Amino acid sequence: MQRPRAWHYGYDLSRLTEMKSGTLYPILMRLCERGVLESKWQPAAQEGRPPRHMYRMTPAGLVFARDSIAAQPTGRRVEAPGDYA
Amino acid sequence: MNPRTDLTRRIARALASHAVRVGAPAHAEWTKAMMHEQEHLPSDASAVSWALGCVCVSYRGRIRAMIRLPDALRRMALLVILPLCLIPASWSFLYVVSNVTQDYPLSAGARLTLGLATVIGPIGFAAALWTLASPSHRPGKMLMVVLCALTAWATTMLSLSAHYPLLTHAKPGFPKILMIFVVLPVLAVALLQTSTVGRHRPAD
Repeated sequence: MQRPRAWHYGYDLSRLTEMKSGTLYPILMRLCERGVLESKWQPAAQEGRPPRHMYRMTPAGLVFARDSIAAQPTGRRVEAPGDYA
Repeated sequence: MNPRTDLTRRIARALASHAVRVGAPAHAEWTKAMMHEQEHLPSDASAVSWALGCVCVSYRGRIRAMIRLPDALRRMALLVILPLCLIPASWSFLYVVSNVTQDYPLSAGARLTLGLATVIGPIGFAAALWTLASPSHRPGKMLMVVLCALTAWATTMLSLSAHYPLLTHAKPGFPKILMIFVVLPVLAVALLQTSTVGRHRPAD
């Protein structure tokens, strides 16, 4: 939440969250499906390397993240965009 | 690059390529993203570990895609299976209710117990119809709470009736039938609940 609208690589997120790729990517997929995250392809800086997928929070995702953090001490559950009503 | 590093990277690439081939077509972009990311990892060990994760994600996605029924088929299955699960309880409920004034072999207390336990049948039916008729085809949290509570109640009461036949003063074979009534409503509620798993409303 320090740079909420910054783009991140999958590997960066894996290190930040300490999640293995097999755990992280299904979560990223779901968050993108629900409109919490957006993704884009970024051409590699080094020649001969493949492009990388990058992720960042959408404005709706940002609101959801802020609400979730605010709700933490009370234990109140915040509905994610795309959650069941 | 030394031969060992080369071999490790080749294993990681082979695993990631396999993941792309195996992955569900709907997730092709994601498996490709994972494979490409693997090429940017600093260490060989992390590349192999990353690629193994790709393989797991691909297989899980493929298996889910295989077992996921289209919504129409899911509704059809619910329409067929739910009544089968709820008919015994509903029949039993109607039987108890219709025999209240007659010379029924059960005591008044047992009638009340069985009536309350088997009320899951008609209520489950109504819930299933409401779910299938509602635009979202999902039962809703409150309804699921009520159904789960009723199922727990039915399970407890019918189990007690089966283990303590004196409670119902019933014929010797009757408790065994009651045990079947316990299993079926549980199955019905589980079916209703799982029918919504994996279906998400599109993001606003």
